[in-house]
Formats: sequence, structure tokens, C-alpha cells
Amino acid sequence: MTLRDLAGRLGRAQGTLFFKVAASIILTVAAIGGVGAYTVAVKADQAAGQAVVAPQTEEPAARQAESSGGAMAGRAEQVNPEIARREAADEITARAIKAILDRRADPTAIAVGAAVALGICLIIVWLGVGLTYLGLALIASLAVVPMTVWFGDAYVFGPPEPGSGADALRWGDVGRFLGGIVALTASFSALMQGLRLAFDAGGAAGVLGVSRVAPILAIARNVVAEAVRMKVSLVFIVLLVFALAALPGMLNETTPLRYRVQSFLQYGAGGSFWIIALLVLFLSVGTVAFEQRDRVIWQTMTKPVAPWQYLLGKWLGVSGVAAVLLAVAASGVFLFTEYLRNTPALGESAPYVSKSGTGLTEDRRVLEEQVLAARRIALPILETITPQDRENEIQRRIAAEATMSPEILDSPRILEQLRARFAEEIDKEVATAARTIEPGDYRIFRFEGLSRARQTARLLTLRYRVQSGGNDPRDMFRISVSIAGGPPVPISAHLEQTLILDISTAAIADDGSLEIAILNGEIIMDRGENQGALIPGPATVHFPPDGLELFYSDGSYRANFFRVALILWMKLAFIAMVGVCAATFLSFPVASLVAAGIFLVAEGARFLGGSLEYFGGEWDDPKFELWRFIVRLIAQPLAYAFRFYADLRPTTTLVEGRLVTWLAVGRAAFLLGALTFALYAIGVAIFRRRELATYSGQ
Amino acid sequence: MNTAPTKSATPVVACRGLTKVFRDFWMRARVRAVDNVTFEIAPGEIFGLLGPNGSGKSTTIKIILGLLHKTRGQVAVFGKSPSDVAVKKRIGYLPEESYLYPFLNARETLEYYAKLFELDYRVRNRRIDELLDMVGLTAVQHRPVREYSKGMQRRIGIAQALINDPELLILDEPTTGLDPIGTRQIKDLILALGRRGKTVILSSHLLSDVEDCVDRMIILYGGKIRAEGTCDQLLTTEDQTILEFEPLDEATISEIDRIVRERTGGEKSLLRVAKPRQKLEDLFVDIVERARAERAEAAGAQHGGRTAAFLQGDGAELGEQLISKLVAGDSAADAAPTSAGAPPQPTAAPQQPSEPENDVLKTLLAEANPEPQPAKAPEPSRPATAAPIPADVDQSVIGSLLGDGAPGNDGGSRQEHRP
Repeated sequence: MTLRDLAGRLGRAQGTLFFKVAASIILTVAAIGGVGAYTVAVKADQAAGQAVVAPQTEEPAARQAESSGGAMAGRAEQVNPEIARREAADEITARAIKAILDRRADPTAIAVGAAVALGICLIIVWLGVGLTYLGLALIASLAVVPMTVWFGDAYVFGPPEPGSGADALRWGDVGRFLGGIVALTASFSALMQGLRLAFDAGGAAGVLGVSRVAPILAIARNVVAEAVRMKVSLVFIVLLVFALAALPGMLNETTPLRYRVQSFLQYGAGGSFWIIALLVLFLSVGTVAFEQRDRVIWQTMTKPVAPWQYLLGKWLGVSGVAAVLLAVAASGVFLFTEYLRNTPALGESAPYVSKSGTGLTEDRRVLEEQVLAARRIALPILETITPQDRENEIQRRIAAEATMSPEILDSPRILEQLRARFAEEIDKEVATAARTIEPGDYRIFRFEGLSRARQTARLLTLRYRVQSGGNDPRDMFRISVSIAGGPPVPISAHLEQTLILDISTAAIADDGSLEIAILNGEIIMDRGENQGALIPGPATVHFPPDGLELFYSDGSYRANFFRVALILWMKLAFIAMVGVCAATFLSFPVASLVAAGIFLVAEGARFLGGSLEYFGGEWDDPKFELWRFIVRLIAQPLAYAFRFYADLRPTTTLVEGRLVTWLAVGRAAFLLGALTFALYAIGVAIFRRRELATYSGQ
Repeated sequence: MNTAPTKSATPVVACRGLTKVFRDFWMRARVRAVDNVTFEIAPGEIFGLLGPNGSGKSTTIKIILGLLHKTRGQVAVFGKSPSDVAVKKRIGYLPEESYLYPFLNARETLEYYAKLFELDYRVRNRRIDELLDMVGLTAVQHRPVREYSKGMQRRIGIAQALINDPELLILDEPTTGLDPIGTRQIKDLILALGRRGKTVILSSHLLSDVEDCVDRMIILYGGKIRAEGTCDQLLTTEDQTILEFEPLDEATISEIDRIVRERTGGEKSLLRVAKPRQKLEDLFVDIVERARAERAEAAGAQHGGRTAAFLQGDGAELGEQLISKLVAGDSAADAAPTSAGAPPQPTAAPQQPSEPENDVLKTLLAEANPEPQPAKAPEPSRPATAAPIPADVDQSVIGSLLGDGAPGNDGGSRQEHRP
């Protein structure tokens, strides 16, 4: 039997029902068995390790404060108000550490990974290419395994220059890169094929009597074929696969694990989103615009296809491709993050085992509590002004204005304008004042609704940012923080730098509130005399609106990751509709520019909105008025419309370990859905009126 | 005579005062492509739209299809607006050029269009098989369309226009880019569909295409109708009569001439005697078919030739029915084509040696049409390609221009000789 015959036989065999069923059973059993065996092993390991880990809580990590600037605010040991409270705090800290270690033993990640891999394998088997893929995987591993396992530490281009600081390329990196490409490409092609099968099910919908669906799915499937077979989109797909495969090699292994994980999440999730977004943009514009330019659309639109079906099909196809790409990228990022999580952090001899043998290292703890977490935010309840005081203040200011120019009292229109202006000014002033602390003075910030945080027994994190005067980042301020009436902890704060302070959940009162007093200055205690001296800060300090937030864990990082991926997909689906809508009446280049412009404005709406607040005001020259008016006329509605889109910031949320609730996902779905539907309606309206043919005579 | 507008049924297409003015970006009138055009197309009619390039043929068709919007006037397709999606289920359209998705192969292309009609999976696959076979692309169905030659792309275009077994088939310059075999096939197809009572709109500037097929036509120039009527009305020369015989000797011819002179008192006589001559198209088709019989293979598109079964009659849709029809219709088959007065199948004869199925098709064709449209059936006016063509006006003009005995370009079907 020649090799060709053998290949032919195997090719036929993998297409048979028997092979598919048998392979599916074997794969499923193997996956379940693997996850089960792992779970058992981990549980046993955990039981053995319990005795060692449990008592290692002598250092109350909860009292450590860490800032990105590296400033550490130690525990103020001099004061010793309530021993009981401290013990409670220590106990909670110990529980938090235990929770981290329990989570480590939680086989969810392995189960999720196994489920994803099994799903892809089953798709491959049922597509009738199981043996083909197996063969390709074997060939790939023939190249990858020796590179990583046997020559992993050998340098490709020789060892690095001494003192250069940079690590040189090793064969192991190349092997992992190649392996990553193969795995990503295989998952991508399998999922893409699965997507095509899903769209092919349109015929089944017709059989079930669901009419008008089949054309939509047929058009969607055509877009999928176009995405894979046209070079433009393939370039982006290849770019995505290469970038994702190369990214792990870019991480510097000497930096703390938490920063490595954060950069990987940032560049992996954020970078993938941008690459996919650009692909979505060009694919959605191209698939509609080129079809009109090349007149292929004539044959489609002279079939029983309504404009709404055509555009919906196009959008569905692009969104489906986006979903597949995002699924590949997200599972790649997720699985590699889990891999990183299971590598030693800074100061660890093995994953989750500190070199010093005492509890968890700082790096590990921050990673687990603040990065790979799902944390909620609480904002302080600020003092407000009563309506009566507000009204009085407005009257006072109008009176003051009238003493300078009495004629304003005669014009109701000007009075009304002044009232509105003063009301706005007063509100801003009050809000600012509530976040401002004079030198030597203190202010109590009250956070409420923390009952849930109290139950979870994790750590709270206060994120704050100090502003003062011109915000020169070289300036350093000394402030003191007192948690729930506890001793003031002195902190050195660089201006405009975001700092972090850990707080034990024991500090939360029974009603779920927490009071944090911040002093602009420092108290120097004389241990012998047991009395302190206040040293006031040099200037007034202020916390910006997003500069004083309390974080606490609520929910798992993995579920959070999934929700973030969902929101990312919704954004992509929205971009797809922008492209489709623009291409209904514009040619490819123009529509691409318009769609890209809208995408960038939407992504930058926060920045745009902020800029508009400061736009103008300083030019009193009337000749700028018209210009200002035009700019505002265009930019303001755009910034306003996309404010909410920009506020989603799913990648940042993920990197900062912030919780995305299902409510937030629902809200995003509703608002993005409404925006997408509005664009869709506009697109359909344009498309119905549009003449698809042009004059063809001389 | 098949004068369509007299039929009581709703016209398939009705245009009244149809006008289309193309405007530029500033909404200034740029060109009046169709100007106050009025016509109706009855069900079952094969309707020709003639005119030189830029005369408004394509514009009219695109208004009927809803690809362009009329400026003034009325247009109704099956009694409804062209923008009505339901109407499009009944229409098949072949644009003047092949506009295809370059990344799909032939089969995927047809699958895509079939799905737009929400055709059931099995119906879809059978029709695609039959159509690929008909247009001779079965062997290359898995090659991407962008690799196809122009003619092959044209064939796939024709197949997609027929995927829904349309009641109204609109063909815009269907024979551009096709070789004579393909051209002949299109004409056969149009005639076969016509016999099944389908309506066909044929737009062309190739006059022989139109002349061979259509019942009625309008001739457009500058967006206006310049002439309208059936082929007979427009082409028949009323002051001559043609008789056809088996080959006759000189003496018999003289005798006939003598009788004619005698009967008319010497006023009329035999003008010319000619032997039927094959058209170049027939000759070409003949040669290719003989080569095929000798299994000479040509690359690229193969000449399938068999009209797809589903296009030959509603009953031929299912395989079982097809077989039962074959069995039942055997006896009635032979007489049908001639008795119905339908033109003989031009490709049938040369294909017979190589393709036994052809008999089956003939049977089906005849059988599917036991009672053809009453108005159309005894139609001597629709000239078939292989049938001797009456000595029409333009042929004699060409003949006289080229001198005695010189063949007309596409019409010289007789060897002339004046007694």
C-alpha cells in the first residue's frame, strides 16, 4: 500500500459517522477523566499543604500599603488602641490568604480550559478533518517539542552581551511562538468552520417553518467565506495570530508577576480588540461597498431579499467572524494568564510558595486580590448643599453682580442666564470643596453599602490620587489616614499618582459603612510622653472625582473575564453596524474613513468630552465665536452620544481587576443594542431608497 | 398569431409612460435614458427588447427589477411594484455581464442564490446538480469563480438565473461571451421555457438571437419605442410565397413554373429556386458535437447541453416522478414535437449518438407540454434555428449586396439561383 493510498483511506475513515462518534466519545471521556484526575490530585495536595499554610499569618498583610511609586506606608505600631479589633483584622487576613490558596486549588480554570479544548476538538472531528488535524499537530509538535524541551535554554543568536540587560532569544521562545501559532490557527479554522455550519443551518430554519431567516443566514455565511478567502481580512487574522503568539515572549521575567499579568491582559485583550476592530471595520465596509461597486449585489437584490434582510445578514456575518476571532483571542489570553498565574511570583520558590516560608508574598497577594479579581467600587458620600442655601447663595451672587452692573436686573433673560451659571458654579464649588482638605485640617469620607464586602472577608483597597496646586509630580505630600477611628497612618504621596491602601474588612461597621478620615499633614508621636504634634501639610490638597475609590472583591475573575469578553464583542458588533451603515451610501474609501472616524471618536469620547469643557472661554474675540460654535455643534453631540460607549472601557476594567456585573453587561447590551439598531434602521432606510444600478449608456 | 396584449390574464410586466431621467450630483437632468415607454408582456410570451447600445434596454430592465427607480410613469410586475420582495421569487435575472463573488466556487455560488429563495436542502442540491450539468460546469464546480473564463462565468450566471425555476426570466444580452454552442443552448433554453409557458424578456443587440426566439418585440432607440410587433408582423414579406419540397429535378421545377404562369395568366412566376443551406452556427454545432462523439476533450467548460430536468416541467421535479413519466410517456413521445407544431430541437439530432439521455429529454419536453398555450402552439411564425427561414427582407438585401449566391452573414439559408 502506498502512502497515498493510506492517506486516502484515512481521509475517508475520518469522514465516517463511526469514526466521528467513536472519536467524540474517546475525547469526552479523556477530557472528563483528565479534569477529574487533576481535581483529585489538587485536593490531596491541598489537604497535605493545609497544615503548613494555615498558621502562616503572622504578618498582617492587610496593614501593608503599597503604591505604584513604591512608597510603602508601614503600620503605625506606636499606637495601640484596640487589641481585639486588630486580632479580628488578623483573622480576616488569614481567611483572605486561605481564600486565595483555595481558589488556586479550584479546578475551574482547568475545567474551562478542557471544555474549550474539547469543544474545538469535537468541531474538528465532526467536520471530518480529525485525523488531518491530528497529523498536522504531530508534525508541528515534532518541530516545537525539541525546541522547547531539549534546546529550550539554548540561544538562537548566541548569548546576550554582558551588561546589556536584555535577554537574548532562546530556542524555547521560538518553539513556544510556533506552538502558539499552530494552536491559534487550528482553533481559528475550526471555529470558523463551525460558524459556517451554524449559518448553514438556515435551511433547517426553513424546514421548521421559520421563513425569511434562510436568506439572512446565507448572506451571513457568504461574509464568513469572504473574510477567510479575501486577502485584506486574512492579513488582519494572521496579524492577530502572530501578535498573540509572540506576546508571551515579550514579557520581562524579572518584573513582578502582577505587572507581567497586567501587561499581558492589557496588550493581549486590548491589542486583540484593536486588531479585530480594524478587521471588522474594513470587512463590514468592504463587504457592502465592494458588492455595490462590482455590481454583484444586482443578483442578490433581484432575488427575494429585502433590504433589511440583506443588511442584517451582512452585519450578522461580520459579527460572527468577530465573535470567532474574539473567542480565539480571549481563550488564548485567558489560558495564558492562567499559565502565568501558576508560575512563581516575585519572592516565590514555587507557585504560591513563598521563599521565606511565611504566608504569601506581596506580589502573589496583589495579583490574586487586585489583578485577577472582580472588585466593586464604592465612592464616598460627599457633603451637599441644601436647596435653600443654594438659592441664598445664588441671590447673593446676583446682588453682587448687580452692584457692578445694575442694568442686568432689568433684563429677565440675562437674569435667567446668570441664575443658571451661578447654580452650576455653586454645585461645582460644593463638590470640589467636599474633596478638598486645608493644611492641618482633616475630612471624614464616609463609604456606605459595604455589607457584602464585610461578608466576603476579603480585603478592601482604597485607591486615591492627591492633587494640589500645579500638580508638580516631583512634589511629595505627607498625609495621614485613619480607618474607622483607628490610629492615623502617615503616607508620603506624590501628586497625581494613583496610590493604594489596603484595609481589612473588619473596619466596616455593622451597618455596612466605613469612615476614612484623611488629615492634610502628619502627627509625630512622642512615645515617651504619649502625645503627638501636628505638622500641617504645605498646601491645600484635593481629590479629583475619580481619585478616591474603595474597591472590594465580589465574584470570580473568570466569570468577570467572560463578561468583559461579551462587552468587547458587543462593541465589535456595534462597529460592524457602523461600517455596514456607512457603506450603504458611500464608496469603500469614504465609508472606511467615516466608519474609522466614528470608531475613533467613540473610543476617545471621554477625552473629547473633557477637551470640549476647556474649549474656548479664553478667546473673547468674537471672530472665534462662529468657529467655536461649529466645532461644538459637531463634536458635542458625538461626544455625548458615545460617552457611554467610551465609559465601558472593558479592557481597563479587566486589567484593574474591577467587577463587571451582569447588570452592567445588560446595560451595555441595551445601550449598544439601541445604538446599533438605530444605525441599522438608518442603513435600511437609505438602502431602500438607493438605486443600486447606475446609468450604463454612453 | 400570438398577440399578447389581448389575453385576459394580468400582464407579467406592464409599463405605461415609463420615463427615466438620470441626474447628476446637483440633481440636474443628465440624460433621459427611457422616454415615455409603454408596453405590456403577457404570460408565456417571449419578448424581445431590441436596440443599439445605449438605447435604454438595460435601463428598462433594471426598472422592472427594482434596481433603478422610475422618474415618471407606471410599472407593474405581476401586477405589483418592482420593489415588492415577493415578486422576486418569480423572477430570474441574468445581468448583461457576469457579476459573481470571486471567492466562491460554482457550486457555492448556486447554493448561495438557492438559499436566498429559501429552497429546501434536497430541492436545492438536485437543481444545482442539474444546472451545473446543463451549463457544463460539473467538472469544474469546485474551482473558484475568479479562475473561470468569461464564457464559463456567463454559464454560471445563466444557472443562477434559473435556480428558482422562474416564471419570468429576464436575460440581458445573454449570449455575450458565449461560444456558438453556448449561444445555441441559450436559444434552446428560451424556446423550451417558452413552451412551458414561462415568460422571457430578452434584451439584445444581436438580431439573430432575438429573431430566432421571440414572439414579440419592441425596438428602442434613444429611449423611445421605434417599432413594436411580432416577428411576423415586422418581418414577413407579404408579396411572396415559399413552397418546400423534397429535392426536385429541373423538369418538375419547370412544370411547376408553367402551372403557376398558366393559373395567374402569366402575371406571376417562380422567382428563385434554392437548396436549403445550413447556417454557420448549425455547421459549427454539428462539428463540435461530432468531435465530442469521438471523445475529443476540451479544457474548461464542457458542453452539457441537457436542459435541467426541473426546468422542463413541474412534474419533473422529483426523481420518482421523472422515472414514472419516462415509462408512461414513451408511446406519446414520438408524435408530440411535430404534432404540437413546436420547432424541432436543434441540438437534438447531433447529440443523439453520444447522449442517450437526450431521447429522454425530448420525451420530457414533448410530454411536459401536451397541451401548449393555445395561442402559441400552432405557431409557424416563431422560426427555429434549424428550420428553413422564409426569405425575409434583410436577407435579400444582403444577398443582393453581396452578389448572387453569396451567403448572408447569419441568414443565408438558401442557395439562390434565378431561373
